[in-house]
Amino acid sequence: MIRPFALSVLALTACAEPYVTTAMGGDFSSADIELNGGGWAWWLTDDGTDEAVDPARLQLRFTGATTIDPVLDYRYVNSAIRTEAAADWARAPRLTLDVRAFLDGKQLEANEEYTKVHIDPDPTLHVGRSSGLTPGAELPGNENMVGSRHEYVLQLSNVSMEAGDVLTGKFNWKVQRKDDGTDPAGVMTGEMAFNFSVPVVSERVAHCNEVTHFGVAYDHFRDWPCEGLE
Amino acid sequence: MGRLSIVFALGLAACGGIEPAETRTTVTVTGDVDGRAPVFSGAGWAWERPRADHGALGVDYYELHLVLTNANMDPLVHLESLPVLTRHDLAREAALGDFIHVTMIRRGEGEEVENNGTYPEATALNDTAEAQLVFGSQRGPNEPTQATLGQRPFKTGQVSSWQVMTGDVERPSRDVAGALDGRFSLDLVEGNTPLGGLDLDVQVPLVGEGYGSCQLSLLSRPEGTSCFVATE
Repeated sequence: MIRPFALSVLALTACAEPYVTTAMGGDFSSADIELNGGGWAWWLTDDGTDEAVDPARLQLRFTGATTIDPVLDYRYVNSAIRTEAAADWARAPRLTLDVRAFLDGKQLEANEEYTKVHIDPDPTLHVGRSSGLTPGAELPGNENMVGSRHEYVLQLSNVSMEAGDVLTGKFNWKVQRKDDGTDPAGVMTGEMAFNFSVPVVSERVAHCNEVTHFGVAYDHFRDWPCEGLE
Repeated sequence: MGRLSIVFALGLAACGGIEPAETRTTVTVTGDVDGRAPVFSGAGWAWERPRADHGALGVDYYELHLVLTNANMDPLVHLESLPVLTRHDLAREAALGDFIHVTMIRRGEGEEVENNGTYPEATALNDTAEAQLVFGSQRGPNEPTQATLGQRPFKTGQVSSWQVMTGDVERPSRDVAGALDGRFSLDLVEGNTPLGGLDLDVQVPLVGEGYGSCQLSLLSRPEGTSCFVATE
């Protein structure tokens, strides 16, 4: 009786659809920051310098774009799909995380709770343009649109670096305004919570898609990391 | 039989297959670089940049440019006249294939190349050549998703020795392209390491400087570019 149940759970796990669910609070509950369109993960082991990145840095991508298949090498896709993916990536909101771990050289582990004592996720948030620009739109300001007091919690249910596997976990990001006068008035504050189960994409494919802007920046097509003898 | 032909033709149209274009380019490659012989099966073209006298600012150089690609295009059809998605298709072909851009620079007294000439001439000590040779993708469209990073790909611009032998040189008029027939011989190095040499026997359209350089920039920026920026 136990064995069939265990098998069905395994099958469910293997076939489970990727998901990203979000709970956005404060200024992040805007329609311009809907980040549950898709997500993926990859591991940076080579940043183009002579030294290996060790431990590898987890890269997480959450986007409102719904047309992107992160496992495709977009250089080989027809132009209609490439240009749409590039436009979708550009106009949709996105959060990119480049997680540096300060764990005495050790890699992130499953079921540990990492805060800013252990990691620097270096978040970059791009606000989308789902509502479009009005003719009289003014510049929104500079890049520092969010408060600069941050709290993070990252917890992974499993840690896999293999392309084709799935990475599951939670990420919470709390943003507050600093009271020391460094943050201008009106910076965004609030909290984002992600529950995710996302595909692990090969470093080469994921990094190549980013430097070629999903297959439309042709000057990078023949360059590393897209190309290179293995 | 008739139905099969129609279905096949419809299938081709539905898949958006690009019909072979008249590339107006003939290239024979002899030799190899880093153990590989590049293939240029698409369009090529050449243009000249005239030597100019800038008065008090001095005199600059004459340049002869040759571009060879794998883009299935007619080099005499201006890319800006094509639909933007077609330009993206051509840009991808060019970017995934082998590519070379050779520039011969005649300094000093050097003037434009002539019919049946050999360069550098014995008295022209300051003539030089540059080459940007890039090998295309070694991966197929069914690239496995687990593909890992590799070493940096080969790319060079260092020419240790060179020779250009022209055959017929027919210069373009305002509305009609000319033609260049010649052999470009290049020995390439990386640092002090010889990588090999190439002889490129070419017959390509010779076009105006503005047209030729604009076509090249549109191949990497197909959504458009300002092709006629004043040089410094």
